[in-house]
Amino acid sequence: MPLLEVVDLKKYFPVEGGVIDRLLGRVKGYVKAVDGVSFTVDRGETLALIGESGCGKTTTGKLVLRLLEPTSGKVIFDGVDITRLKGEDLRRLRRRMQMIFQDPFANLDPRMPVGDQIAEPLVEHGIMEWEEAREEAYKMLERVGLTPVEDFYDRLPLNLSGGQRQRVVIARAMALKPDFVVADEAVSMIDVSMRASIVKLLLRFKEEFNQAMIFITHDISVGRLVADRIAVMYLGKIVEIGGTEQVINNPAHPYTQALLAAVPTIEEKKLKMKLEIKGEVADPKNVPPGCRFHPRCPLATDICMKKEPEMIEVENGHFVACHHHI
Amino acid sequence: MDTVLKVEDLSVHYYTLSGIVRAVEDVSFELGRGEWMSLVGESGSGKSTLGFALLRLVPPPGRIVSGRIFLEGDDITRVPESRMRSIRGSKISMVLQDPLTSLDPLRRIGDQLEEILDVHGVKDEDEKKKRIREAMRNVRLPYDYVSYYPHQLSGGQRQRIAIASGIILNPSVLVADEPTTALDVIVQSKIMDLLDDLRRNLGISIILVTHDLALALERSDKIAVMYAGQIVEESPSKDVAKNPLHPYTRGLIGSIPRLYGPKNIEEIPGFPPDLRNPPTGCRFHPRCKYAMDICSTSEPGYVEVEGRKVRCWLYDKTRGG
Repeated sequence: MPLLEVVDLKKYFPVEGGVIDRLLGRVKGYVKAVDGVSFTVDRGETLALIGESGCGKTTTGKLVLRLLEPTSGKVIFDGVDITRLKGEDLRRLRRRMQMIFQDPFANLDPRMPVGDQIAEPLVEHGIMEWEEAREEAYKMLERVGLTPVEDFYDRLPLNLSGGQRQRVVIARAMALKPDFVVADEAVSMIDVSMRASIVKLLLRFKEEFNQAMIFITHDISVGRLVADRIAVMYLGKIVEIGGTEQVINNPAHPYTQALLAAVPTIEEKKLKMKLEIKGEVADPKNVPPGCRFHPRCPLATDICMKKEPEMIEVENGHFVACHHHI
Repeated sequence: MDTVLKVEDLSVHYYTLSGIVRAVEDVSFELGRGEWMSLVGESGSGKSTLGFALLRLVPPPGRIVSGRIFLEGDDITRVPESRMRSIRGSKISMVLQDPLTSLDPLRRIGDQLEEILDVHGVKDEDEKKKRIREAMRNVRLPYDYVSYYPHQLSGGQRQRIAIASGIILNPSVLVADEPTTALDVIVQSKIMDLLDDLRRNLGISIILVTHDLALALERSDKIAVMYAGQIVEESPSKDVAKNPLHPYTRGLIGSIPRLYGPKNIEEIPGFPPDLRNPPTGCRFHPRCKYAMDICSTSEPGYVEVEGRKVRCWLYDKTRGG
């Protein structure tokens, strides 16, 4: 049984008009941020959610953790449907699920010593008393490489570099020994020379706690470093999902192919064809009919404008939603 | 290839309350007509400060403290500010990361392009129209877009407008400071194609300021790697991936994730230095795995190795023994 199962998850945000519309409770339409997403993540497995800005990857991450309420669909965590969970049950669950955000600065309290920020969730969740939690925080700082710890424990986030702050955020999330972690662009703002150490840190904790992880990134080459499987999202939908090497070596969706062609690398690209992708991502308030990628797709035909493609399996465990898959 | 821009021993310091930040120190390079050079470095390496310094736009409390910048033969560090204003835009121009900060949200695109022409003394209406039409064509946007406001355009289109305003006076050099960092990769790749067209078709020399070494190597003729305010290596792009000279460049190459090759990436241990108080000797020595005794005591020269340039004691033969 997978640790996490997501079934036809949707999140529509209402588009608000002016004051009068709001007073009258009128809604002008919906942004379909996530529009029917299904996938599973096993214990110890990492799924990378890849896509461009506005594709719904972050919203999906937040829905899975119940940081947002879904419009419809189900999130089943460890056999329990958590979509309607409330109160103490939800709180107990939160301990097992953690999120690491892109901007560690926004994620930390600017006025609290970073050591105490690691200890606080342990106390909040009733796992330990402050004294013991502080000792635990001390150990965590050491484990994430912020040593000598006595130099770091009492510092405020302002007095740390971006990479050091991200280490604090990771230490705080991992102190709770979660089974499931969502890392949202966790290394995107980190300078490249320090990226490797952050990635390795995440992988080490993942191994140790046998965590399931959703690793959200716009950079497919970074996704490859950590992921067992890759899901490519476009305008609120998963368009391709499969084993990391399957998706990278044998991309079946024209959009995946375009992403691979565009990502800068120092290697020769192994792509089957060069596709010219038109324009930019459509407005999620006005999702194109049929296949939502069709206005940009060089392979599009009539059917793509009318019929939304179903997910089909192109090789073992490798699925694509495209009428003309490559 | 004739040299369009020549920078000699340029240093830029910021005079802050907590000390002098040596953001750019003893930087020298040359740029040929139609050549594309990328300035690559991490945050705080001085790459953006250098980019701004080339237009004499370093914000206070920073200033150019020494060195020369020859733009088509003229030393622009010595010209009065009034003349510099006419040089900016017409001979050297700049595109920034976020076009929303350089475009006025309340005015139509066409009016903003026209203003640039007005300021630079282009008064003839037909001539203005012709130039705007040409600029829009050069950035591959429909002419109708001149009646749009910036918010009506997508991020990629706005960046094209920013580029149009950068090239409308037909400058020799365009400095593009992280022009695609806020954009998605597919759009980024198209903006890079556009820059490439500009230098091929119009002969504009490009200086791309970026943190992304892979992008720089893929697109530019040569790269200059910056670390702690200095250029530590200048090499043709084709040589760098296979044979990086400076240990820092080697480290950066090792930190680029691969699509097909080995799955591990390497980190460069330690953190970049505080430029108010940079390390003695080679500024990279505290993080360098090849560091020798001399590296902590004296600064290596910027020496030539097989037509490339590097600032490292491994290559500087003036060291004893």
